[in-house]
Amino acid sequence: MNWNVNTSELSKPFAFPFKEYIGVTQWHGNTAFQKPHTGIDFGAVKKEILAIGNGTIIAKGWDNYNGECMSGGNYLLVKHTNGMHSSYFHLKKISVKVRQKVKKGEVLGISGNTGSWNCQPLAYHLHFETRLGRSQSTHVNPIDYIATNWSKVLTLNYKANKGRLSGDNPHPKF
Amino acid sequence: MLTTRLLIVISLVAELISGQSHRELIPNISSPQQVIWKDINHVIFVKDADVFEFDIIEKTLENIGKRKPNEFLGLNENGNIVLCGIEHFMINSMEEFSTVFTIDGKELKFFPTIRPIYLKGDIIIAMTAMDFLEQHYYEISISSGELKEIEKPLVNVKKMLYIEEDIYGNVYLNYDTRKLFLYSIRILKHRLDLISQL
Repeated sequence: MNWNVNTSELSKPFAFPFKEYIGVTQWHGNTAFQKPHTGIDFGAVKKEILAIGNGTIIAKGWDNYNGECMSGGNYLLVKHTNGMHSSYFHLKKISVKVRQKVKKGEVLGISGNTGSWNCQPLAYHLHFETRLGRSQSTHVNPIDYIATNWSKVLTLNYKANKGRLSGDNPHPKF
Repeated sequence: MLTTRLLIVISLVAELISGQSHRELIPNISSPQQVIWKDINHVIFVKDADVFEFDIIEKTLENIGKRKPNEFLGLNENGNIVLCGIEHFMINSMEEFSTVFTIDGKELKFFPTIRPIYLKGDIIIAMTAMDFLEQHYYEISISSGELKEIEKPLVNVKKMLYIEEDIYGNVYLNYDTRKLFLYSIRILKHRLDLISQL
């Protein structure tokens, strides 16, 4: 019997971090801009961000790990029930507390443009990571863990900036 | 022969009526990084390390020089090619410079991380170099080194003659037939006015 189901999608444990499809400004992996880029940058302007799976908020605050001039702004770190972690950076607003349990699809906050690069303000976007452990060095490509139709997640404004197509883009031509 | 000429005239008239543009492929150039109109008859293309000049009358393409990967090409006040070197630095405070432009041995230093998008005479138009940063545009005076923020400049204003690139990177010289026709009439009228003044 053919159920017409993509089993590889079913095996992915997590959901998309937004209510709607939102395009990408930088994919995970070795991109034209960063080697490696440890997550996916979604071109989200003040959008609600969602928990990608059940879990617990284990950290939140202002990221200044790389100093005042290189900051991820307001961030959030979630430990999921399968042991993996997800992180959200540059947030405008965080609406959950540390140690709070969250359900898949629950609103965690609002994306923003907080933080800086080389002492300069960032454009609005969500830097989103999936990690095997707590540390950023354990980052993995979110595409491999998030069940969504990635062909509908477009690369934003790639005609003006072809470098945006680079990295682990699941559809390198768009 | 007469039929062919008649067909050409009919097709030109049809293009004029429809307002369509006509385009011709410029051979041996694809996906140039820069396109610069040197004057009304010459277009400069920067393709990787090479600089080419295309003569739109003679239809010739000549390699006229080289540039480094971190150099941007522009025209000086005499219409000659000038190269602007670009260096970016990681900084730890807003008191430092993250960009240095070098033109004819002169260094221009700026706090924002920027790249030139236009260079002519004494003016450089620059924009934020990294597209994940808030995008800003600047006008720079080469002689004074002064940088001031400006609104996003207008681009893609189509002229009678313009360069267009397709999705495959092929480059075309486009003629807007109607505008060329009107331009020819204006030139003719201007010449007749001059004659009548004699």
